[in-house]
Amino acid sequence: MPVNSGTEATAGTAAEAETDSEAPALGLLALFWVVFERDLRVGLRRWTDASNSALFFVLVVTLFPLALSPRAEVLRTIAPGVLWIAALLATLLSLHLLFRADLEDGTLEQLLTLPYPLGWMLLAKTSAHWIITGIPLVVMAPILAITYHLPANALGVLTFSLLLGTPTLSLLGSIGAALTAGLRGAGVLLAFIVAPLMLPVLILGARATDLALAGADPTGPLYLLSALLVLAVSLVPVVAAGAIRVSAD
Amino acid sequence: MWTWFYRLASPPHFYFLAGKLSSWLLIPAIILVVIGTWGGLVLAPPDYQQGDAFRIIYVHVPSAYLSMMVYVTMALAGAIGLIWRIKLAHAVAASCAPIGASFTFAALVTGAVWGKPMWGTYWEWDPRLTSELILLFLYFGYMGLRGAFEDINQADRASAILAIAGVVNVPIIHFSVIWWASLHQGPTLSKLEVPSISGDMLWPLLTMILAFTLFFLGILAMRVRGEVLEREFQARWAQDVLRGASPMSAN
Amino acid sequence: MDKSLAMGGYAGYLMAAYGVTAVVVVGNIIAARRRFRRTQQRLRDQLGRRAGRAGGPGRVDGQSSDGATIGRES
Repeated sequence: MPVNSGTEATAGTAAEAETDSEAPALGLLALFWVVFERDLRVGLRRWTDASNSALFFVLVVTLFPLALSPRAEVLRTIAPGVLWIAALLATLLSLHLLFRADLEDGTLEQLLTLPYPLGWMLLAKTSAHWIITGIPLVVMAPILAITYHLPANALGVLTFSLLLGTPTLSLLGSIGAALTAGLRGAGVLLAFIVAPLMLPVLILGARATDLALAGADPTGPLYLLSALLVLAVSLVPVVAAGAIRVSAD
Repeated sequence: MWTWFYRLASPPHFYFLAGKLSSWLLIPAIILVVIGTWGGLVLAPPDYQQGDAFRIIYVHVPSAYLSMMVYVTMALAGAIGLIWRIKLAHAVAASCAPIGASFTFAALVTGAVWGKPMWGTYWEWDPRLTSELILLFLYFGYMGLRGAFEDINQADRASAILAIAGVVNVPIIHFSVIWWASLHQGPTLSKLEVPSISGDMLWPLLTMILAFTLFFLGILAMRVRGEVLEREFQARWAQDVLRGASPMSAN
Repeated sequence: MDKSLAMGGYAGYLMAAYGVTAVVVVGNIIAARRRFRRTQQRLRDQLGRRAGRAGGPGRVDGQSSDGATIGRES
């Protein structure tokens, strides 16, 4: 299987580097890059999986005008909320991809045995995951928002808020993905566990866009979004590492 | 002093203690509930603004307080279980969940019932009610995650992590919901605001809060006993108890 | 007395609120007791089955608690 060569390469590189000398030979940055690059490669190879969530994003955004009203005044008002909700749902849908491949081919167990900080490696994995699943959302959102008649300034804030917010969503989601990694049929449970954690991001992102739409200053919520991102980057990997250890038992 | 603590953490001692404790807790709790209800419904004067409807406070606030206190207890117990690997702590955490969820439900319903005479509808996306609803989701997520694992140790540790993540998040969620609500609400008061409370309105509230706390501890004792019995099934003392061959079997 | 019972017209709401709370309180007691009894019963059955499976007459005496040695006629 093509995936295995990636697995062996990473685990091999890391393990080799370790057995060559007494101490682990990969510096933190190099380690990050090794894990990140490999996850990116594997994820891109299986791009059809990742595209599911992007398509879902488009689908949800399409449903609202159909169910509510295609009138510009209505769409403009609901655009911030709808786009942010769609982004959140699409992220939820993509989370199972984070650990699935590794659990299947045993890489996860190997990662646990390596003498490197697990949280750091998980951060690398989640970053790769975000590049593959989150960035498409950030790119597509302004295009879809145009169909909602969102004016240019609000478009910019929407995109920027998503840029700040989707990594946080991926990080928070990684906790849920780690907790439910071994469980069968854990999709809805995962969403249920993780969604409350994501609420502040949703509220801030939608409100920032709303403020821009109303001509007011959106910097407050945007600052808070960045603060949450920083908080997530520093705290989540530790929690996710603990969670993965539980699941891998 | 620590021997007392270690003894408590020992399952057979806990089983015995909890058996005694639960009636000692529940009976005063029920008595206090009766006294508090009487105080709240009959003795307290009607509120200047809300009339008699404010009396719902005597069941709503204790329920809401309990829903949050139990969640924190659950997270704390999970953390203790994770860090010090005390199995009893995990049993406590597991037992907290259904109790907390039921009182969250009570808080939501009493809040909605209070809302109807106050603002005309059963539901407003009031920050406090919305936060309670989210708390209910957190409880369900916790119980769902627990149930999804076959191995009890995995279930214990995974749900402990979830509870800890939730507890950290609860203040953040609460503030963002308040902020969100403040953007949409007019200059009207926060709907479920406690009316300016005088002494003879206050004591029934405090009584009810104390009553509910004792009640929670009593029910918790009952549930943890069952958990402990089940988890320690392989142990000699547990089998003796089950067979009726132990001095503790009388419970 | 009548007037105070009417609770300023809010009697229905008060009854609903206090009623739900009462249900939750009583429900907790009942649920906790039932759960304990069911667990006790289930574990007792398991214990009994173990004794039976080990070949003995199914009568458990207080002396041996591991299945392997139950089989001694009492």
